[in-house]
Amino acid sequence: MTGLVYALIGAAISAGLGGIGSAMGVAIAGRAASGVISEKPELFGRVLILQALPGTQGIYGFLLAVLILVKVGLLGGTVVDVPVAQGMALMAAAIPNGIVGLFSGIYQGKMAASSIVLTAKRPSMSTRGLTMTAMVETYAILALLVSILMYMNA
Amino acid sequence: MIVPVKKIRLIAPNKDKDILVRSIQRSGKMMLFNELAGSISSDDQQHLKRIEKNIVILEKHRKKKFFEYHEVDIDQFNDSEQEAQNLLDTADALVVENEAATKEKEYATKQIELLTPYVNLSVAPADLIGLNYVRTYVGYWPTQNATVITDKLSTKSAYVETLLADDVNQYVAVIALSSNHQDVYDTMAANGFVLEKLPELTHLVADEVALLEEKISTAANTIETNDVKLKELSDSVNLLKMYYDYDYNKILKQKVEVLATEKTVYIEGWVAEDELEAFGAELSEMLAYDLEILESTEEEKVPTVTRNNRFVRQFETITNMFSVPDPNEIDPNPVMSVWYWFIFGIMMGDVGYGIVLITLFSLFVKFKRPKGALRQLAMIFAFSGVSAIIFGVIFGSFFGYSFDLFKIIGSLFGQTHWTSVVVNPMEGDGTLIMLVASLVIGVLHILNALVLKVILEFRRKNYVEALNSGISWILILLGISLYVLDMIDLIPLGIVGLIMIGIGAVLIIIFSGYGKKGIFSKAVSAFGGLYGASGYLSDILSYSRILALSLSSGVIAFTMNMLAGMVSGSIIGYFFAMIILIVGHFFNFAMGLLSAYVHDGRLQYLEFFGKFYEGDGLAFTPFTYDLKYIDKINKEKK
Repeated sequence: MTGLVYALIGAAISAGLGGIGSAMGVAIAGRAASGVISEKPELFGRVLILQALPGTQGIYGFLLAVLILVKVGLLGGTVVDVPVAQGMALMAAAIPNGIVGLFSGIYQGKMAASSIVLTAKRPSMSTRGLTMTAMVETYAILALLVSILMYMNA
Repeated sequence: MIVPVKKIRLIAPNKDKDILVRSIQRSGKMMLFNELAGSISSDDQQHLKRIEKNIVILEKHRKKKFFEYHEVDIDQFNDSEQEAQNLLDTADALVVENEAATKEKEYATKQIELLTPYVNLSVAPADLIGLNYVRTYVGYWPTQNATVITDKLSTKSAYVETLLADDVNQYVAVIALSSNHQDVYDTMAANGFVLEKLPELTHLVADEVALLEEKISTAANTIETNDVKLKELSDSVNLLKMYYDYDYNKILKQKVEVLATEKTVYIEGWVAEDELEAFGAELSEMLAYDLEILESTEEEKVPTVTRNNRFVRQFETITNMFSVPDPNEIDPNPVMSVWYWFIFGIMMGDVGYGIVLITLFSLFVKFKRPKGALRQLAMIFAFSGVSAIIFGVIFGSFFGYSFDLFKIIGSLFGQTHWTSVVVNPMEGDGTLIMLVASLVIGVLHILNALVLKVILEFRRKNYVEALNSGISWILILLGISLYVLDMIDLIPLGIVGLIMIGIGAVLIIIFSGYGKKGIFSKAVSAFGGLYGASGYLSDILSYSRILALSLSSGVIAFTMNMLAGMVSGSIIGYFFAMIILIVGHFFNFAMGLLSAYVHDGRLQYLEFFGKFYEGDGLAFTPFTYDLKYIDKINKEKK
């Protein structure tokens, strides 16, 4: 059963850290957003999209966690016997996604907040802010990719 | 395709000044040289605000209609001023009356609230003021202090009349002798007495309350009858909307700076070359004028007009968000649009989501009729639905369920081995194949950008730049590709590849320092040029996001289906499964759409445009009707 436990710790790292990162990021962006709509309620739609951007890290974390749970048979199947080595490999696979998700979520939230302020001052620039905010996500995407490649071979 | 733009001067007799401006606005084909001068005067602004306010109020009285489309004929647009002004005055009078009545109602309600505890006062409040021997206080104190206060007051020969008492307060009228009234007041105040300032009525409080109540009911009646009238008027709210647009555009027209000589007026501006004839013809219907074509000077920024087919035109909004193309470079839209469409499809990569994209956004465009950039974006999403379906078939995914189109078709013809699923990114080697495919797409995308760079530099006769930053990198990228293909035993041309890489590197080393003096600075430039390779590496790796986004929407769709599958089984289970499916897929669709839109854009802006596109052009914004409420003005005469 030790292998299974390692795999589950991996799932926890992935969903947990990614989720924390996104929650903090979305909250940071949300604080800026609610400040903006108190003055300019008509910008709600644009600001909401920017606020949603740091939410993806949590989704990536959730995604990998589900993949791990499927692999060990906890979701949609019967629990398989996981060798210790495979369990540890699955845990290792979760680390890039979890840690990068945590930090990139927070930093993307900060970036989103400043794009929200940009939108408040010049609403026509909101898509440029959107693109700049998406830059931060690049590294979360790369980490997810590495995690999935590791997961595939685990 | 970028169309040349001509600088022109229109000359007309003095008396035709207004007609000239009106005709230009009506044609909507000329961009004025001078921007509209000054701001809108406060009188005009107030008039606009008044119209707007009445529109809002009339809208409230009307049944809400989704999807309203408002189209008017130009004659109707220009000739309805008087009628609309009358409507505005009528509506405004009713609204003003209503506002006054509401205010009166509110005031009366407040007064009644104040007076109600004192209705039992048997003297008119005015009669209590200025008496010789006694002083009267009207107010209330806390009920719990009542006995204490009355005891104390009885020793000071003050008379207390209780008007009303509830659990909290006791409302009283206190009569004290003039000689010690201050003492009486202080005693009461120390125990929580609050003096009430009653209005100086010459009649009883009870009568005043009755009067106020009558006022309230009159006001309510007024509001009710006015509301009925407003409701009748609300049917013609479109007239007011048209009036707003008409009035605003009339103001804009007055802001146009028209230059004048003794007998003529003239306006300068830009017109696209291919529209020049139509523009002239349209103008000659309205007035006699003279059109001169001017030479534009070097330092003048010429606006850019792009003409593309219906598909490519929509994607111009993506480019313009980055920067408007300069007239002297290649219009990136025809090429970029295809790439954007293609990559968007891979990122969504689901037949179901593709169908939703097409239906949702075509319905949105058809019924809501958005204008400008929003319309273009909706059209882009609708078009990209097609590529999403194509890649959905290739990946074998329908709302996350596995789906094999050709197998279904094949089973109709008795063929069991047909399949349309080329690669499933979520299974086995599929992920790796898709990763490689994403990077290959990246290489092709970047090569395409470099080819455009070479064409652009050749057109400008910068052959050195074309060799240095275009052809060299094309050789290197192709060389590396050939070498890799050799390594995996596909095409045995590795040696050719190596030679190409070598030539590319040599080109960079030779031409990077072109024009630089001294061997040292040439060497530094050459090194810097070669160092660009790291940039190309990260650019190509950046395309791995195509796989990641495609995978993430695929896995989440799959997860939702699995969760729904786990709860279904009983009737209640199926109900919950439906909710999970609808909410889950909606969420995944929305997030997938946002990610694809943003990240596809990023690939175009950084990786693609970064290689050749300069932008920094001036958008062609012709002087035309600026409409807020009306969707379209029909210019054709019936």
